[in-house]
This record gives sequence, structure tokens and C-alpha cells, in this order.
Amino acid sequence: MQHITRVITVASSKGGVGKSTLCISLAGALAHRGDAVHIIDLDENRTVLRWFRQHNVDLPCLSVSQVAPADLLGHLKEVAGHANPPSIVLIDVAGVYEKALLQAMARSNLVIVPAQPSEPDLHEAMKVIRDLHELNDSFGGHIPYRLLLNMVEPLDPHYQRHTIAEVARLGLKRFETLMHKRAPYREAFLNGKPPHQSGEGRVSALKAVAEMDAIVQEIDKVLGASDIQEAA
Amino acid sequence: MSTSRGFKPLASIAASDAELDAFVARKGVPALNHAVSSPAVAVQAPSPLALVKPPAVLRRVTLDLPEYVVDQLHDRARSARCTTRHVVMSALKSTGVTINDDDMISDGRRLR
Repeated sequence: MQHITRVITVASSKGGVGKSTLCISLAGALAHRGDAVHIIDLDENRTVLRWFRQHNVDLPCLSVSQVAPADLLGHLKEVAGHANPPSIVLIDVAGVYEKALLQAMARSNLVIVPAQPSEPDLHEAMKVIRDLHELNDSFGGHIPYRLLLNMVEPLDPHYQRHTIAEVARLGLKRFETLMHKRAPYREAFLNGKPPHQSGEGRVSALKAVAEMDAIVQEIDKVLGASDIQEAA
Repeated sequence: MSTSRGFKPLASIAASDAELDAFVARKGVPALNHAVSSPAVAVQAPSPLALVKPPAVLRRVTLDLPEYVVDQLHDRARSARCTTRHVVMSALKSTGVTINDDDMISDGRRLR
């Protein structure tokens, strides 16, 4: 049986788009279904690492490490060579346009680009997507990306509908699932529990869980398609 | 049943770090001076004692240094895209002064 470690970079050259929130929520969803997850925190703010430490996060199949970007490749090899390697490695980068962002993307199986439905966020998202295309072209890779519209307003105001229509017009590949602005995502930083681990029956918690499950399903599809493409 | 492990990411882009560095340099993408230079720190089930780690108390120190030394400090900070404070702290650390990694913030941002 072959064990494959998949690397997903949550990438944006802009801060405040919800990278760390997504990392934590995704890790919770993946861990909930039984995946061993390892998060590499490349952000000097150490948001994820601090979350993990402060709340003594009690998820046996989740680990977090902090590494210098220059050591990323070696660290990934080390993680994959572990006796019980994780099935998913999530990389949380700093919200800055810098070398580490490209280094992380180059070592990924999938790049998720979170963005709020706003022009500044989408402008930066497109910059990251262009760089990924350039990386793929330069090195003969075919690392896929998916834009994730994050902090979406449940009331769906006009500007939001327009922005989402623009994403479609520009031909950007995105998750069908929208990540809405929901309290459980924010609360994870206060109680250490991603939506899947909150154990709450509140409607907002259940909706957050359903969103994360849908995103995980879409990730599976993209990674599955990517496998077929590479095999060909 | 034998178990073999494949490392998928390396098959995606078969570029060495040096090739990536050259690519990044060609594009003119800036590189921050990351404070973490030690091996990766894996965190597994931290002890409750590690939960609260207050930031170090800062104390202002005023020094009179030769102008050419100050100029060099500023030059180094500019080329490394970090703060002058970080240049000084790095130099102190390299001479054996104990400085926690948590306090080695290269770009002056506060920990959120």
C-alpha cells in the first residue's frame, strides 16, 4: 500500500483574507474524518502555532510546526518520511508578497487562494494565481489552484453578486462552496475548537461544519483529478 | 503488506531550491529575513505550562555609537529588509547573548 502525503498551501499575498482561519477549520474537518494533518506555519506572526499552543488543542491527529522558508523542502521530506506520516500537510504563509509564498506553492499539490469578495482581495489573488501559472510553465508542473471566496455575506448584497460574477467572467477556478462569515470560525481562536470540534448544535456551527465538509469534498476531487493528470 | 511512501509534491515541480531561488530573483520577488533559522519545531500536545508565554518586557537603551557603525547598521537593515533592532539582536545572539526566538521579530510587526 502506498501512503501519499498531500501538501496544500493556503496562499495569499494579502493579510486579512482568512488564511489561518481556513487552515484551522480545514484541519478540524480533515481530522474529524480521520486524516492525520500537519500544519506548517510559515507566517512570522505564528497565528496557527500560537492558537495550537495557547489552547492546548486536543486533536491527536493534528500537529503544528514552525519552519524557516529556506528549510521547507527538507522539513517536508522529513514529515513525509515519518513513521506515521500525515496524509495532509497544510502550509499557512504570511500575507505578504515574498519569496516564501512561491517556495511554498512550488512544493504543493494544491494551492488554495482565499479572498473576500472585494476588489483588493481579488487583485492580490490574481497576482498569486499568475505566479503559480508562471511557476508551472517554467518548471513543467501542473499544480492546480482554487480560489476560495471567504467571509461571504449571508445576505448576498449587490456588490458581492457582482464580484462573484466577475470571478466567473475572468475564468478563475474557484470552489463552488462559499465560506460565509460565521461566528464559529472566529470562535475557534477563542476556544481552540474548529467548527467540527465545537460540538455545538447551533445553526451557525452546523452550517460551518457543512461548508468545511463541502470544501474537503471539492479538495478531494481536485487532488483526484490532479493524480490522473500526472499519471497521464 | 509492505508499505512504501511516496512524496507527491516533489513530482509536481521538480525544481531545486536553487532553481526556485533563481526564478524568484528573476521576478524580483522580495525575500523577508525570517527570524527562524533553527530546525523546525514540531509541536505535539503542549504542556499546560507552555500555554501562557507573556511577551518579553522591553526596556529602552540609548547608546552613542560611531556614525559609521550606525550607517552600517542601517545599510544592513535595508538590504535584509528588516529592522535595525533585528540586526543588532542578531549580532548579539551570534555572540552568545541569550535571546528567545519569540523575540526575534525581523519586520517589526507585533505578534497578533
